[in-house]
Amino acid sequence: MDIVEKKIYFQEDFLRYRNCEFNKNKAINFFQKFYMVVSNPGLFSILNHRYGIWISLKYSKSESDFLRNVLSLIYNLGKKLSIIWGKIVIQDLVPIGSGFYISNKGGVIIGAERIGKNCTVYSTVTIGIDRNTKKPVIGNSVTILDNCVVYGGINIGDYSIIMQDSVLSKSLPIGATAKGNPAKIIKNDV
Amino acid sequence: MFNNIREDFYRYRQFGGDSDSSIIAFLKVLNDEPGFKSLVIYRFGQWIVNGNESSFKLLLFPLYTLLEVLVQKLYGIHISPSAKIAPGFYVGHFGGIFIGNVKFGGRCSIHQHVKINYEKKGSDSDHLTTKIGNDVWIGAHSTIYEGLIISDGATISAGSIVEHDILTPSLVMGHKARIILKEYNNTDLL
Repeated sequence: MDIVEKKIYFQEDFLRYRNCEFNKNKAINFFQKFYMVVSNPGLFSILNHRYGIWISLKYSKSESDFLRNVLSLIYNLGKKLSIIWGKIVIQDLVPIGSGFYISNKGGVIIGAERIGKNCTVYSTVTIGIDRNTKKPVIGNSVTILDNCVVYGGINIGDYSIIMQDSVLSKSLPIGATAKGNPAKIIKNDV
Repeated sequence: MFNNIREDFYRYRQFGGDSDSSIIAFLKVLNDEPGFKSLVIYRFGQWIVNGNESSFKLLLFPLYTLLEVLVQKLYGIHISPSAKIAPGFYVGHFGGIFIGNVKFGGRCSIHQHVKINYEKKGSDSDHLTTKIGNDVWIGAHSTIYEGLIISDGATISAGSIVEHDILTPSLVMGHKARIILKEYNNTDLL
């Protein structure tokens, strides 16, 4: 699962959100992009998170750089804004693959070890640590529906789906569908 | 009020892994943690309400109401002024937290989307007090219905819905929560 490269994926996130608002295969200009960032708190918080990763990659060597401090101040203000506006928290420097989608309804707390490409997270989802402070690793194209809690040092395989109101603390194979509290695998094919 | 806030601050400081007790550390915790903001406002409200009837403190009540509504709107944390919370309380993260007419013991922890004293569907009783003992850990997304008694040292796992009294220091889990372990040590969670 070598999914996360040292690259910033602004464009792919816009494409995921474009499919909800505009037609597919339609080019989006600068004003439409601005409109999307203002109207989608999920997109705003993802872009702010990617901006924080960009700062850490670009200014990692010079520790006491004045410019770095100013840029990370803007990043922290963006985090505060996404808490108030979208009720969304993404922990610092979580590596997230391209094309991430968070529902605009919010209530989302993401503290994963890493997250793959094209994942979807709906509202009121917690991804966090267990009592041994281990974090989940999430694969490509995983969908987590509303009101879920995913915690512990688990591996979630590619293309798997976690249904509503489930609490998951065990690993999932590729293409599984899990449901319930505690979650059980109800379907095992892609 | 100040002693209670100091106890709460020690709990938060313990989670940050920092042993600094200066005013700067206090302001840092107040800036970073939305839960601590709401707790400070709750303690302020209790200081006003528990005062003398003809006291000048009652003039501050509109200020308390304004701050309460502000925290409720910005972070989604509602701690009712009718709740009685012993010092050393910890609110993790933010969003969807509802604490009604509840009596809490010392050193309890709650997390995001926890609803306590939630009215049971179809019950015709008045609002009863939920009584929660010392050292109780309540995981994210869990719900506790009204009028229940939770014993000292109980651990309520994430996403559980508690409908019956818990009379032993046990681990509780699941939709319609069941007792998983009768004796469970949660000292390292708190």
